[in-house]
Amino acid sequence: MHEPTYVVLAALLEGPLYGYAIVKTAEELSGGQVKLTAGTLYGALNRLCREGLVAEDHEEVVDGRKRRYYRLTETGVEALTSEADRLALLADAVRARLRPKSPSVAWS
Amino acid sequence: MSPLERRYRRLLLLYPAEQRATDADVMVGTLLEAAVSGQRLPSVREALGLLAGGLRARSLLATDSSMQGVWREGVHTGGLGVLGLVSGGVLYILAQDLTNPDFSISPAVPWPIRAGLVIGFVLAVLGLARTALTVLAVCAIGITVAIAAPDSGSRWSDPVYVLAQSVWYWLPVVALAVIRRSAVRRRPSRLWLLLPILWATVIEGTDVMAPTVVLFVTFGLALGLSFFDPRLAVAGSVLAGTWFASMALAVLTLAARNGYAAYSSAEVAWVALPTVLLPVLGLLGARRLTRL
Repeated sequence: MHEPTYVVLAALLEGPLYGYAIVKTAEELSGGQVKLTAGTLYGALNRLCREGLVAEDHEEVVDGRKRRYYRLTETGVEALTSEADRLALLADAVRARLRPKSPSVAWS
Repeated sequence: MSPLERRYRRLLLLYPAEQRATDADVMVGTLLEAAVSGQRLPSVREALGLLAGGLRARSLLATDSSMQGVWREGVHTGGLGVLGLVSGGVLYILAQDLTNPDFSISPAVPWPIRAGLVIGFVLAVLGLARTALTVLAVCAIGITVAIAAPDSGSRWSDPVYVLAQSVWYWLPVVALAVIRRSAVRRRPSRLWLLLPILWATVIEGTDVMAPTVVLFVTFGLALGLSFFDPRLAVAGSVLAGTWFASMALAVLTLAARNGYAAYSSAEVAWVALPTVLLPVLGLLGARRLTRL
């Protein structure tokens, strides 16, 4: 799963969100690392809708601008959980190898 | 509508019409909300994002299973076009041989094989694809062997030059083979039968540039219309690609081995242009065609 896809799905854990809200939430979640453009966002959302991980929730017009809300499906939650577990496992394995080795090991 | 919104909507033209119809307003809303107060020009980052997103959406559409029939029909049309031109050339040579039996302008290939090409073309137009494919494959083998024969002329015995000449005969066979496997098969219009006669008439003209001019007018029309119908882009690309492959191979062989160029680099470049541009325009114009 690519990083933008992961953070878009993660952003939707808070509940249905519209485009700009997803962009802002994704940026916050990633500590400013992921800044989605509209082109990337809607490309990802359309793909995730086709794959059944995300669904369109409802639309509304605010200040003359159309907003479409997207929500995470059950399949989306499962995919996100699985990806989060995989990343956590990978992170743990790397951290374990990064731990300072005991002096006896290091000096041998 | 603010200038910024107008500019973003222009950039959204990069997306296929279907996606624009459903997503444009929502995307513009997001883009305007992300803009800073007083901003009049789209940000470079968002513009690049829309460019990449639009091209990605179009390429997805172009490779969608519903587009397979469209591409195949384009290949079929291009193949028939190449075959029609080759048949026109054959008609011209046969007419020349009949009017001047003492001097053949192309003695290497026996006339029954050449006549077989015209018959194959007629069969393909009549919708008898399997028979046409067999006849054309036999003719293509015959012509390739005849061109490659040692007594056919010193420069023709060069394998790459033989390949360069054979491209014109083998490509229609490939195009017909593609259409044979296609689920979308439609009998071509009988008007296709006029193409060899028209082409032979063009070649017959005293101006040696006439065939080139006609081909470039065809490419120009294909370029102009390809955005509206990707089938034309594919068909034009098959035609231009055949010409380009034949020219490039001939140039490579003759320039490298015999020390002279069959075509100038400018000529090759002019043929390479539609070969590259047509598929790109076809991709940009890709859309679902409901009437095949």
